[in-house]
Parts: sequence; C-alpha cells; structure tokens
Amino acid sequence: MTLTDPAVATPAVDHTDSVLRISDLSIAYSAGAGRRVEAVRGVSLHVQKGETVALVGGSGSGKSTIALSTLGLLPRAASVTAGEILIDGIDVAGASERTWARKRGASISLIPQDPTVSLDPVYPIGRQIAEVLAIHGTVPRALRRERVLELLRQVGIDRPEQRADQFPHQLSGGQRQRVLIAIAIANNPSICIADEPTSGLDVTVQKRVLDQIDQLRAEHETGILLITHDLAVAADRADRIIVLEKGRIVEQGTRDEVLGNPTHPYTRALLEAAPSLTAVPAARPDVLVEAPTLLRITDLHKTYGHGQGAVAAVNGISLEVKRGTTLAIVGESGSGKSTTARIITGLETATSGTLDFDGVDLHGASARTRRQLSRRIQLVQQNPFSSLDPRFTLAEIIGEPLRAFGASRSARTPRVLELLDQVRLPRSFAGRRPGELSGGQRQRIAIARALAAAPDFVVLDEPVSALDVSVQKQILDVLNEIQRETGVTYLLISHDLAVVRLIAHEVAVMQAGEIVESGPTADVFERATHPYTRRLIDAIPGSRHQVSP
Amino acid sequence: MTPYILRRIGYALFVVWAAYTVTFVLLYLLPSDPVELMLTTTGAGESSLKVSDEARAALTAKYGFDQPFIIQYLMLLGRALTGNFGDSLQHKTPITELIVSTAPQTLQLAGLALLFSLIIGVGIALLANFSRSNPVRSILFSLPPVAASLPAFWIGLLLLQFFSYQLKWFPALGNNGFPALVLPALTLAIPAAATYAQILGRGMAKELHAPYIDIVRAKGASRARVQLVHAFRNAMLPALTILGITIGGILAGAVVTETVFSRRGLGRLLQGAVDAQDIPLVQTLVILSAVAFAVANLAVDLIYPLLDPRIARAGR
Repeated sequence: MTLTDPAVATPAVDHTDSVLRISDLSIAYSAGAGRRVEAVRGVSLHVQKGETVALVGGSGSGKSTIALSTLGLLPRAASVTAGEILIDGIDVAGASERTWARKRGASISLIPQDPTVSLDPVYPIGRQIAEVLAIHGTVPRALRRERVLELLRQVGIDRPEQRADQFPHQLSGGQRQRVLIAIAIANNPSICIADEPTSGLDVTVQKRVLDQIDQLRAEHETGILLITHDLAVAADRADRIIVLEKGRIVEQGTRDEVLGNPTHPYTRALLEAAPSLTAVPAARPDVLVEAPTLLRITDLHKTYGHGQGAVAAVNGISLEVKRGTTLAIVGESGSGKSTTARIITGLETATSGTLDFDGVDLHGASARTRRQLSRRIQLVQQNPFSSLDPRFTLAEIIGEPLRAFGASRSARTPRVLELLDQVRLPRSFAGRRPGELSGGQRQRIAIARALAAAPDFVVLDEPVSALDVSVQKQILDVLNEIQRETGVTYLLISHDLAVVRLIAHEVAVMQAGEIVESGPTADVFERATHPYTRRLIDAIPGSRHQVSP
Repeated sequence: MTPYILRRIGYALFVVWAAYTVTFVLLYLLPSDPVELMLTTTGAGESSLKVSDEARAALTAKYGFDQPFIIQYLMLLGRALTGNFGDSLQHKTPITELIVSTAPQTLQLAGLALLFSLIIGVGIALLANFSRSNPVRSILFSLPPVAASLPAFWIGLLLLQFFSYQLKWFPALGNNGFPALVLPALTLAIPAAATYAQILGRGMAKELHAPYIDIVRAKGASRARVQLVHAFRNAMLPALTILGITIGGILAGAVVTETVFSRRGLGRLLQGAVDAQDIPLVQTLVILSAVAFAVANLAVDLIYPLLDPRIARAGR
C-alpha cells in the first residue's frame, strides 16, 4: 500500500474481511481545454465487515467524489486516473457498465443525501423497493410483495400494506429516508455508502435514521462508509474516522484517537467547528439583565383553513425579546416556528393576538406603518443559494435596501464597504456577483443586506443550516460580533440546538404551535423539564460521545 | 376525483362558448352588411344592383338581421346548440352537411400527422439521450429547434419537390387514398414533432441529472431501464400538455398544408370561406377548431392524473 503522506500511518490490517478496499485512488475532473483538476489524490482506505468508517471533510474535500466512485456513478467529466477499488476483493475501478450494474444494488448500495428528491415521484414506494429485487432476480416475482412488506417493517415504517402503495410525496422526509434505506439493504449488500444521510432532516429524525442504519449494520454485518461534514455525527457513529482535506487523507484512526488526540490542524479546526463537541458554551455578547423589551408577543394565533379543516399553526404563544439580545425559537418542521417568524416580518398576518414592537402593535398596523417598520425589522433567509439575485453585483445586492429607503448612490457606496467590513469580507468583493461566492460567503452577503438599513431587529431563519459545520461556526461568530458592535436584536429560528447554544441568550422551544419550555439558554440546556426539550437535546449529534479536549 | 373531472369539463365548455361569443361579436359587428355580402356572393359577378329593397328587407328579416344584437346572438347560439349552423352563403348548402362531407379527409390527415409527429418526436428525444456519441447527441439536440422554425408551406414544397417530382414515391396532389396522405401528413407532423422532441429531449436530459436517477442507477438498473422506465416516464408529463395544445392547433396547420397539396378538407374549406367572406361558415369552422382544442386539452387533463400521482391527489 502506498503512503502519500508519511505522517499518516495506515494501520496494518488483514484484508480478508474487507468488504471495501480503496488503494491509492486518484480521480480527476476535466475542466475543459485539456485541463484536469485532481479531486482525489492517492487515497487508501478500507471498510471491514460490520464496521462503520466515517469519511469526514468539508465541501470540496473530495469525500462525495470518493463515494460516487465506489458506486461507479462518477459524472462523465470525472475519471479514475490511478488506483484500485475492491468490492468483496474484486477490482471494479475500470469495470464495464455491465459489471457495475451487477454490483450496484447487490454487493454495494447507496443511502443518499436528500431523501425528498431521491425517489421517483411517479411510482408507489413498494414498487420502487421491488425494483431492486427484480433487477437482480433475488426474489421470485410471486414473493416480492411479501419481501417488500418485510423490508418496510424492518426499517420501521408503520402500516406497511398501505404505505407500499403510497407515492413518495405522501411520506415525510424521515419516512422517505427509511424507504431509501430499505432499498439499500434489500439484497443484503456487503457495503453500504451513506452519503450525508441525515442532512435536510430534523434533529430527532436524524437520530432515528442513524439509529436505524446502526441497527441494520449490526444485524446484517454490513460495512458502512459514512460520508459526513459533521465530525459530531462521525463521533457518535463511527468505529474509525478518516479526515479528508483537498482530496488527501490528512488524519485517520479509531474514533478515540482522532477525537481525543487530533494531530493535523485541519482536524483540530473541524473539531472546534463542531458546535456540539466543544464544551465552551458561547462567544455570545454579554447583556445587561435589565435590557428593555423590544418585541412583546401576546397570545398569538395563526389558523389556516376554516371550520373542521382548520389547522392551528401557532396556538396562543407569548414571548418577549429584550433589546440587544438573541432569542432562539427551536422546534422541528411543523412546530410553527417559521410561521411565527413570517408573522413578525409581515409576510403573514396573524389570526389574533398582539405584537408590540417598540410601542407599535404590528398586528393592527396600517400598510404605511408596516412599511416604515420594515426598515427596522429585517430577515436573513435559510438558503443563501436562492436568496441572492444572480445578475446583481454584491454592492447592488447590499445597497438595495438603502435604495428602497431613498439613499443616494453616493451615500450608498461607503455604507456598502462598511457592511463588507462588518461581515468580514474583503472590500474588493463589491463588484463581484453571487455566482463567484461559496455558500458561507453568500450568507455573509445576505447578512450584510439585512443590516444595510441599520435595523433594530433581525430575524435569522435557519441562517446556517444549509452550510458546512466548519462554515457555520464562522457565520455565527460574525453574527455575535455584529451584535456586540451594533447592539442589534436577533430572533433566531432553528431546529439545531447546537447552533442555538452558541448564539442565543434565551430559548423558546416550540412544539405543535405552542411554547413548551422557555428561559435563559444555560437553564434550558442544563435543567430541561419538558420531555420534548430533553429529546431535542439528546438528539444533538456528538452527545453520545464526550471528548475531553 | 369527480369534482376534478366536472371542473375540467366545465372549463372545456367555457372555452367553446367563449370562442363562439368572441367570433360572433367580431364577425357580426364588423362594419359590413351581411346581407350586402350575401347578395354580392350570390349574384354572378360583382353586381347586386338588381335586388329590390323589398327583397333585401325580406332577406334581412329571414336571417334575423333586423333584430337587436343580443336577440340575434341568442337565436344563433340556440340554433348552434341543436347542431344547426345555418346555410353557407357561398355553397348554398347547410353548413352541417358541408362539414360532415369534408371532415373525414382532415381527420385522416390530422390522425396520421399526429402518429408521425409522435414517432419522430419521441424517437429523436430517446435517441438524443441514449446515444453515447457526442457528435450524434449534439446533432439530435439541435435538430428540433431548427425544424420547429421552418414554415410549414416551405417544408411542404420541399417534400413535394423531392418525394413526388424527383423520386415519384408519392402523388403530389389530390385526395386519392393513403399514398396521397403521406406527404401532407409529414408536412403537418414535422413542426409538431420538433416541439415534442425539444420538450421531451431536454426534459429527459434534465431528469437524468435528478438525484432519484442516481438511486435507480445505484440499484443496478440498466441504461434502458434508467432512461425509459424513469427519465422518459417523468419527462412525459410536461410533453403531454404540449401535445394537447398542438392537437388543437392542427386545423390551423391544415389550412396551409391542404392548400399546398390541393387537398379537399376543412382547412381548404376555411380558406375558401374567408376568401368569399362566408361568415356563417367561417364562424362554424372557428368553433369546430375551438371544440377540437377544448376536447384535446380535456383529454390531456383527464389522462394527466393517471400519470402523475401528485396531481391526482391534489384534484381529489
């Protein structure tokens, strides 16, 4: 076995039990005009029967390229330039499409990143599970339905008989991921590639899906290659951890070796970035206890529909946000947290209740008052990839709210540069367009835009959930610094308690339209009384594995 | 499901009614006297001078032109509902008879054109995506936009020149049997085929990049299965909507095609009626094409939920 970096010792292993072995693998993308970009350079790794190996790295580390190559699913532009990929001891690196087809779904399978788009929308789920049985002829036609139901039961889907005939859009994200797991294990493969299997799912659902994968690994002795950007997930689930940076392995070892005694600076950076693994609570600004109240919500209701079909999205919540502090509303999809944010920002109208913002009732406010207040209340959205107009320059994007409130061009330019400084981006970025930026940089631009008109109150709607863990930390730091400098008040909407702990002064936990628990952040984390809060805290990745730094 | 069907049928009826009303308003309120027109077309040559004022008044009364607008409208609408569209000014025969005798020609043409356009369009879309050769792919992907921008009469003349005059495979003109139908049907089919190939081909290419396709491939599915069972099946949905629209537009295409190939049919009938300002006939043909449009789209709307489970649920 070739070592590319002498600092990374590859443990000597007996490979008779290796279900997946990659040696000295290099993969390059052709970047047009005969140029090639190396995405993976001399990577060697192996997964034993019944073992979970986590491949950890940020965007662009090459982890997903490795995952795709083990399934023979590399895009046309990419090719394996050197090395071997052995599945059950057979080299498949340069195999024909036909050989690959025989392996995929039988010896090696995939649990994908985003379950909501990974099932064919036009076929019932039962048929999609049966397809993998039919392709490999593992179960005779007459017995397929029975096997499908058995698989659905195994992955914990309720009422399998009815569910089998339902279409993907009738299932929740978590249920769809279970269906995809059922597809992945249908033919008892020796190795399963789990590519960020829980990104896009609620925390408690994440935990259940990971538990499910764990259980199946234990029962069937399947080897799992877990691809993740989140070291905390790896800490909970993996026997061994391999850290990848820029296409190279920079560190590997057992979980305790890597987490307990990281040697490479990149690993240390990842470890520090994983919010839940660091014991230090927060860099959030300290606040005066006696800060005045900026927003007071009293008995807020929002009901959709009428009569018997009416659904209460927000069911009588009351809360208070003090000036210069951060209140986090935490909950899962459907808890009503986003509806609350939309009502505060004026995107929806409440059914009843009062929203007292600095002495003005937002609920009864006239359109004119609302418009005046919109300068003082701003929003940062979840997805920085779709919230910026791709044809505007960054200066135009950041300056747009100023223009809307009547600032002249000459007044806008210095303000835009000042805002770029505040979000820690170089001033030279002013003339660029969103397409040239990474996800983290885009979110900084969105924050700068929200701050442009010097608002008192910024609603942060899942501001970092679309970003890599290492980038999340940087954005949260920027938000904290801005609060310290400008005294702005934040309302954070999040499903991720790990993020909340780093930034919020106070927390309100929402479930089914109601606040079930609230208080100062430290109190809620240490003395949670409501079972739902306890479940959310328990579901934070990394909580199963405590590391001493 | 039933409310969905009823609603769709309601829309179709509304479209036909609206087409009738709009053409009525446009044609009958034009600043020309229908009786004058009638007499002009009736008389041999240009002159209508010999008609007495009494005869003129009698004619006006007979057709109800002396009635207020709304009465005329309701009267004609009522007659149209019973299938009586009156007489053609130009042919002096009941319009219903005229249409019954010419419609089969156009229906044959339209039917064959539809068949051709589906075979060619779907074929190109599938080949463009299935081919592994880059030059072949780019040719097949760029063919549809080119073909869609060719005018129908030009395609018709080109086909005539090549297949009739040079190769002598098909007759150039007339209505005699199947061979005479091939070239006009092709002329009508090519722009439609180009549209299907474009929508379906691009749609499939897009679906093939969807994450669910990776899962299908990770199941070990063959290329054919990935393309036909999954990508094609999903790309078909938007193409179906286009199919409804093009079927509706086929009568418009028939005007040009039937003229170029000197075929008898509804298109020629319409062209003649417009030339002769035969207003009742024009109106009937416009309504007929509205009915064809509405029926084709109704059919698409009713088939759609069978193919797309997401629509079926929303419609319930």
